[in-house]
This record gives sequence, C-alpha cells and structure tokens, in this order.
Amino acid sequence: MRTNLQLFVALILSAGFMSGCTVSEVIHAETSHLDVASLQISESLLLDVGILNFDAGVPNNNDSEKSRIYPEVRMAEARYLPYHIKTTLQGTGFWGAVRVVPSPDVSTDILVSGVIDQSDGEFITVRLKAVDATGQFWFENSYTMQTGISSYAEYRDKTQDPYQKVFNDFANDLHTHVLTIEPQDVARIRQVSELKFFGDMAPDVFGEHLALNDEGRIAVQRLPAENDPMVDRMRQIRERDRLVVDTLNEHYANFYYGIALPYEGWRKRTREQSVAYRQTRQSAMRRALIGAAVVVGSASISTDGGYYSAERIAKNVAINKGWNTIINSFRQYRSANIHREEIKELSESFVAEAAPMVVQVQGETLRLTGTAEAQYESWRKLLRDIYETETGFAEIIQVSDPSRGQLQPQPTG
Amino acid sequence: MSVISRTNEIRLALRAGFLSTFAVLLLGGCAVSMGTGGSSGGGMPGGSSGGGMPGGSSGGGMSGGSSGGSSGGSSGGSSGGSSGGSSGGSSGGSSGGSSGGSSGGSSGGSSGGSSGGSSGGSSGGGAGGSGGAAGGGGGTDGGAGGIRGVSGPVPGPGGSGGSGGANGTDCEGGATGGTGGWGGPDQSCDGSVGQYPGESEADRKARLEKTLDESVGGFDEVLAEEQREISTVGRNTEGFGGQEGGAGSGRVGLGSQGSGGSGGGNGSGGASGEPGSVAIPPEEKQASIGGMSDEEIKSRTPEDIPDLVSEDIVAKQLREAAISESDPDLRERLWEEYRSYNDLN
Repeated sequence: MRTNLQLFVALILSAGFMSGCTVSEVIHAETSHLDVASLQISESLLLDVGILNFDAGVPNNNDSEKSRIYPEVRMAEARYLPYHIKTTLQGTGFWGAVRVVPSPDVSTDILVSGVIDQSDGEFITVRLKAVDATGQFWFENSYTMQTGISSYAEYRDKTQDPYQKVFNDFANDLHTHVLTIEPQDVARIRQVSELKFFGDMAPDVFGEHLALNDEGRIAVQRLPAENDPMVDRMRQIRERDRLVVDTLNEHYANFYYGIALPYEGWRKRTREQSVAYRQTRQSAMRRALIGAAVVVGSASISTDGGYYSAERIAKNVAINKGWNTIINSFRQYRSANIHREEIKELSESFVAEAAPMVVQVQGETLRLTGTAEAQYESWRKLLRDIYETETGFAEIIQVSDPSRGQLQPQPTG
Repeated sequence: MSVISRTNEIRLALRAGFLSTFAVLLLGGCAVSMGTGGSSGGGMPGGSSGGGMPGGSSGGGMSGGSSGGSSGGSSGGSSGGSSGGSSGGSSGGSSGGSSGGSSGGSSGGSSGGSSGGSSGGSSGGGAGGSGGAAGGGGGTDGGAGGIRGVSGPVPGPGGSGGSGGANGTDCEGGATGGTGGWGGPDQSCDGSVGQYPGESEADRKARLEKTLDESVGGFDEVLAEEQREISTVGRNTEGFGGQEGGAGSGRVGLGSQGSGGSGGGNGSGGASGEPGSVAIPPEEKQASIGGMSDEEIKSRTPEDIPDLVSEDIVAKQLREAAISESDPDLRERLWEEYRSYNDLN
C-alpha cells in the first residue's frame, strides 16, 4: 500500500518536474549590445578580417527526417551567416576591410572560420574561431541563442538579424581580444600578411623574408626596403588581389540580399513548427505520466466493500480514465509528427529557392578565383623576369605552384 | 605512267623539303629563342621574313607562344590563334588567330582566342590585328570578352583575354610584346620572356615593367566590367528595412583605371579594396568625401541629382568622385558622366 502510494507521488512529481524543466517558448529574445568605436582608430592599427564560408555542420550519417538538418539549407546558411558577420564587424569601426574570403589562402590579417552546430530558426549554435596571419590562435567559442516571437515580428528593427545576439557576441569577443594585443604586434601581423602575399607572388624575391619560429608561428626574418621598386609592384598587385575578393564579395552580397527574405521566412515558420512540435510532445509526455499516475494511484486504493460499492466503482472509473489519458497521450505524441512533416516541406520549399542561388554563387566564385589565379600566374612570371633583369640572378624556381600556404604555422588551439 | 607520276611526286617533295629547310634557316637567323614559349612574355619577335612580325605571343600559355617563338613569322600569329581556338572557343580562336597573325599583333589575337568566348576572341583578334601598335586595346577587349566567355562554351574558369597587345614593329625595331593575357588555369607552359637582339638590360626591364603595368591595367578593366555586371543585379533590401545591411557593403574601390583602358595604357592606378572608399592615386587625392560636411557635399551636388538610395557601385563611385573633385570643370564632367550613367539626361 505504502509502495503504491510512493509510486503515485513519484509519478505526479515527475510529471510536474518534466513540465517545469522543459524548454519554453520565448517572447523576446535575449540581446547583446554591440561595441562600436566612438573614435576613429588610426589606420595603422586596423586589421583586415577575412571570414571563411562556414562549415555547414551536417553530420556524416545525417537523417534529415530525424535530425531536421537539411544539408541544402545548411549550405545556404553557411554562406549567409558569414556575410552577416561581415556587415556586423564592419559596423563596429574596429577593423580594416572585412571580407568574406573564398579560401584560407587569401591574404588577410585575421581569419575567421565557423561551424554551424544548430540552426532551426529558434535556436542557433555556431562555433567560431579566429586566427591571425602569424598563425597565432586567438580563440574559439561556441555562440548560442534562442530567438523569440518578437525576433521575427514585422515591427522589429530589420537591420538586426534574428540571430543578431550571436554576431554581436562574437564581434565583441574579437574586439576584446584585439585590445590585448600590443600595437607593435598588430603591426607585425600586418607585415606578415603582406609578406605572405609578396612571398606567394615573388618567391624568389620575398621567399625568405618569413620563417617559422620556435613556437610554430610565422615570424618576419627581414623586411624589404620601403624604396624597393619590387615592393611597389607587389603592393600594386596586392590591391588587385583585394579587388578580386571585393568583387567576389559583391557576388556574395547579391546572394545575401537575394536569399534574405526566403531565409527569414523559412526561419520564422520553421521556428513556429519547431515550437509546436516540441510543445506537443511535451504535452503528450505529461499526459502520459499523469495517466500512469492516476492508474497506479487508483489501483492502490483498497476497496473493502462489495463489488458494487461506491469505492470500487470510483476506483474502476479512475483507472479507466487513467488508461484513456495514456492512450490519448500516445495519439497526441504521434500527431506531433505533423509539425515535423511541415518543417520538411518548408525546408524543401526553401531549398528550391535557395539552391540555384547557392550554385550560382559557387560558380561565380570558381570562375573569378580561377581567372584571377591564371592572371597571378602570368604576373609571377613577369615579376620573376623583372627580378632577374634587375639582379642578374636567374634562379630556377618553380613558380607554377603558388606558394600560398606553403609556410603553414603549426595548428594550435 | 605511274613511273612518271612517281618521279613528279618525288620532285615535288624534294622541292618542298628544300623550301622548308631554307625557310627554317632564314627564320632561325632572326628569331630569338623563347625557351618553352613564354606565357607571360608575349609578343616576342618571331621571324623576319616578310617584314618580321612578332609572332609568338604567350596568350597566357597558349601553344601559340611556343610555336610562334620557335618558328616565328606569320606562323606565330596563326598558331597562336588556332590554339586559342582550341582552348577557348572555335570562333574566338579562328578570328583572333587570323587577324593577329596577319598583322603581326599576335597578342591581341591569341589572348582573345584564349579567353574562351567568341566575343573575347573576335574582339581581341580584331584589335590586335589592327596593326599591332594598338594591341593594348585589343588585349583589353579580349580580356573583357574572355571573362564573359568562360561562362559560355567553356566550363570552368577559363582564361581571360590579355591586356596588352604587341607593338607590331619589325624584328630589328625591337618589338614590344604584349602581356599575353591570361590563359586558363590549366595552362602548363613555363618559361621566361626572351630578350630582343640588341636590347639592353635597362630596356628589357622597362619593357617588362610596361608589360606588367599594362597587364595590371587590363585586369582592372576586367574587374571593372565584372563589377558593372554585378551592379546590374538588383538587390532586394526589403528584408533589411529597405537599406543595405552593413556599413560599406556593396561598395568596392575600383581604383584609377583611366589609363588602363584601350590604347594599352599602363593602368597602374592603385585600386583600393577598402569597402566604402574610392581609390584615388595619392598625387590626385582630393578631400575625401568622408571628411566633408553635409553642407559641403550639398554645395557640390547639382540640384538635378537625385538622392538615389538604390544606386549601384559604379554610380556611387561616380557620385563620390564628383563630390570629392575640387576642380569645378572636372567635377561637372563627372556629374555629366553620372547623369548619363543613370539616364538622368
């Protein structure tokens, strides 16, 4: 008798506990203030930031039905979110040029990369990492937030992305980190990124200006003379390299603006369905537990009277009610799948709209980077010829293989 | 009967062999060795027979470069063209080849051919063929055509047209080669730019520097064209409350390109990749628009210029260039350019 009562109480408590600890829907999402420069920072202290397209974070054996991760959606997000980080960082005034870069080999002072761990319109979790040109690991943090109903409201400030907190948090962290770096180290990072580019374009001239130090970081061995005409040429070419990336960013911007509305629509409706799915399942679980508690509790009531006694009748009715509740909860649990189906349809609809844009921007990236690399190749040869003419050296150096990335710092962090 | 025809055949073969040997010897006297065919050198003096045309153009690694260099003469031009055709598109190759070869300005022809599109080939070839002296224009046209052409018949990132053309003079005169443009990324030839007979180191360096400048200028042109195309895509900013998302987004510094256009100018203007800025060479740097007050900007903006929210990159740059220009005449010309670009006339 006592055991049955304890079980009854435990079931009631667990039902209450489950309803208490479940994730509830948020009305207003948490926000973060974005640190913005109040004064103009000297250009010599500004570092350029390159943001790689994110890793979509799709598991190897992904079952979209169960995980609700649709690879094509993630592919679109992996291009959309970096561009939004770019716009966020640009708005702070703490950085030089902020660009989305097509590969880690692009010359930049700081390289940001990221992995999307979760993104369903309601929750976003991204892991973001920052490394500078010397190979120094800055940090890697996981940023997460839950959006609210107001995050997608019509009246909201539409310059703020529903995931804006994540971007602001990252921008603030990046700024906090750069504040810990001495100005001379900032200058060194800039020198290294410049010399890496020079070494890539003219390895016979600048190939030995950088080397790995004992810590596995890229360090400057010597600096070229500022009045060296080769430096002028290299800077001229580097500007073109930046211009190529800027042009690419125009393609990325077209993608970003093109996909923004459908992506927001997908996020808004997917969030609604995700919330409904979760709530339906939780409600079903609670009902099942209450039903079970009622059955157990009713069964434990002792009925000393006859077969038609009021107590016995009440007990049977209660047990019956309990069972009905349990059965209904299973029905409700199954009905939650309707929302999952809805999410699937929403995702397929979004993919139909986004996939051609993703393919297009990928094609543009390949075309432009390929064209530029072919052009760089011819410049490499010209630069080598000029160098030979200037110095009389005619070293046989393989220039057909770009040395970008040859001097790789040892990974840390 | 068969014996007679057999004898005639042998006689004809011997004659042809003799002629070809003689031609090779003659060409060998003037041609400068190009190694494996300079891909970047372009416009090497190929041969002197028939006027000594700079035959070999690199065309970004086209085989025209090597065969032009070794055999020289008109064959340099034509083979540059035909190989351009094979990698870039038949119409581009053939027209580039024929006009480049015949006129001696092979750079335009071969680089146009290598650009992968019929428009690149034809315009590159045509301009290159117009005497070679204005090869820079040909190369530039080829480049612009090429970058478009890649998305057409040739899959993947093909080459773009070359920027410089050949100054098609004769062999003794010291032909100045074009840059040879930029071939497809799968180009495999290597080698260095040859040296002209009697050319000093200083001359060679000057020539190479000029070639580099022209090539950079041509590349600027190609990127400018690319950006013009991008800017034609309307951006729906509805999702951002009707304004573009971040500061500086959608604004690319194109740099000074005035001298990099047709005519083979050096195109060495500094291009600033900084978002939200227009690159102006230091010596021409005027007061930047960022440092101006609203009143000053207003006073420099004609009344008929509307405040276009949706103006594209080129229009923005024209606007900023006009506002930052201190010379009133030049400013008005820039505004005129702005008006015509935005169809405000």
